[in-house]
Amino acid sequence: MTTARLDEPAWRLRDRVARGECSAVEIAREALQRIEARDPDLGAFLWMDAEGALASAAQVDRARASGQPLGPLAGVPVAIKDNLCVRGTPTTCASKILEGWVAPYDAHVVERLRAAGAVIVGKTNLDEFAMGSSTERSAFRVTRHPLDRERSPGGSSGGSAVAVAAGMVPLALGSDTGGSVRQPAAFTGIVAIKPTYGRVSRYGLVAFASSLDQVGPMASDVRGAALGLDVIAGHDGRDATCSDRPVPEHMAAADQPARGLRVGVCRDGLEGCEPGVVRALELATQALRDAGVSTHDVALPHARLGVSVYYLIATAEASSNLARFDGVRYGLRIERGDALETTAATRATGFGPEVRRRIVLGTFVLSAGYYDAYYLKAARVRTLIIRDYEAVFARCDALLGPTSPTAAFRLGERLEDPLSMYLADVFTLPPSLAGLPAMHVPFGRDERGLPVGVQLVGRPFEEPTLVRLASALESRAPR
Amino acid sequence: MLLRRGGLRRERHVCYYGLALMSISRDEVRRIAELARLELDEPTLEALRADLARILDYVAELDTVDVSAVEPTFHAPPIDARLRPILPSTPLLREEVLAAAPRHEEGAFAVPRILEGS
Repeated sequence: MTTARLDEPAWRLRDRVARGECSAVEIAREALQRIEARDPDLGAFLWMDAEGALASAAQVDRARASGQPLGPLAGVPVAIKDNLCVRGTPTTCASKILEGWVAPYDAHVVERLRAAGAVIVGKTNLDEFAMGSSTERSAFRVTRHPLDRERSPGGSSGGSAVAVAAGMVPLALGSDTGGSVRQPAAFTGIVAIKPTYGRVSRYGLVAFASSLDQVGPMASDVRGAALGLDVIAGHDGRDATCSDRPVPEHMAAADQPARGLRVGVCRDGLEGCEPGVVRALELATQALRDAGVSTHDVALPHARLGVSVYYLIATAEASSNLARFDGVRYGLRIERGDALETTAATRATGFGPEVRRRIVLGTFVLSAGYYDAYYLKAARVRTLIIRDYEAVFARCDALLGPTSPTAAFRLGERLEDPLSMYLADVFTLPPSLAGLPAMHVPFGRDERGLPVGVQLVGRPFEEPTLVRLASALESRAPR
Repeated sequence: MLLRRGGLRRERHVCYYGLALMSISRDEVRRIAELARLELDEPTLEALRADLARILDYVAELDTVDVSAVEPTFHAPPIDARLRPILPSTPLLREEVLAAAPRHEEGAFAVPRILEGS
């Protein structure tokens, strides 16, 4: 049988399984074969669970055979970023400090995926503790771009992005604190949604910056990403920040026309973008007009300060969250004379350079004498960024702008200069600071053939509006 | 209300500490690393100091806006946190949790000596 089923989007695979056109086990085998064939030189996965995947797939096939109702992701292979707990599998956050730690429970989103019939095939690579924008900061392996092995797939959810972009799975989960699903989606030419803060439970997501972290779907098409959000969104009492607002149907929104929506186009910061990125924005703006969307020039005067605000707030929160890695409860321990020395030696050995840098910066901005000048000031400027969005959303339904200032950059290009790496997030950070839903939609390629695209940002909990617009863009994207 | 008044008092310090005046010394980085429980050697401390100095220099751009009358945001809105009912549930199994720890004894995490003479 010639198989190219995995090149189909998640929702179509599920329909094929439901109609009995192919079995979940066949699809799972195909996914595992593709991972074995393609991953050795891409490095998307840190852990493959062939046994578990085949068992879940067989369960879906049995359910179908006995006429039981099938879940919305029945038989769909899904990859999980390795900062999400999957019971019985290693969860390392790509850090030596967690090497060998096996999660004793499932994250909320993983429970949801299982209940929906998804087939979890493995854990994907990331920048250590999701701190990075290139996936080069993994303690275990570098993840490479499927179109050019010398380029980065972006990060921190680079493993999940490559698993989808290279056709190993049609759907993956990532986490996004300041752009970590959107920027790798932009680099690899896939779709990703960073949901509204509070839309998805973080129970079982290893915490990085608690006022920003969200789990988001990454998929080969808009409907697939929306379906992923349908499955993982909704209330969970185990995350106190998780909203109990009803969850609308995101995938169904892809069939609603975008006509009549008002979209603000933000051109701030375009002078720092590659020509291919600027061109994608102009073409996408025109495509939305062609779809009957009205576009309006808008400005977000304080968004330019997003990098500074983010790297003060996120590091402060990270320094606190990562205090739990003390050599007592998980993974690594470097034994020294007493408990304090053991903790300091374990942390210095177990954390890589970027994590150490952020912990030290975060500890500094929270320390006596500097808190007001750095952390508190950043928190006040954060308010101004939020107000900018409120003003724009009083007259627009969504915002359109770039996701990343560049297409995929070369491996090593920014590794030695932390600030240049931080600036890769300049467009994804402001919506994160404001807790807003944001989505990357691919829109053609640049002159080198590298994927480019645009970012849509919406009002709180208005992900369906983003899906409507994304769907209009997808059907008009340059081939 | 008390919190709000505290916030206003802090305002004066914000004016006092201009970000542009900040730089960071090796001793300062050493002290911070100790607070963060990171045992770092001298070359690592120096590299960190240089990185931090550049980052702090960059974030000094926040001085270009006057935020003295702006309330800080500590959590991205909207946050509709709710109290949840406390219901019996199945906790994690002690053996499973301990199995993931570097050392355990008699059903507890085992740590090196904490107190003198213990």
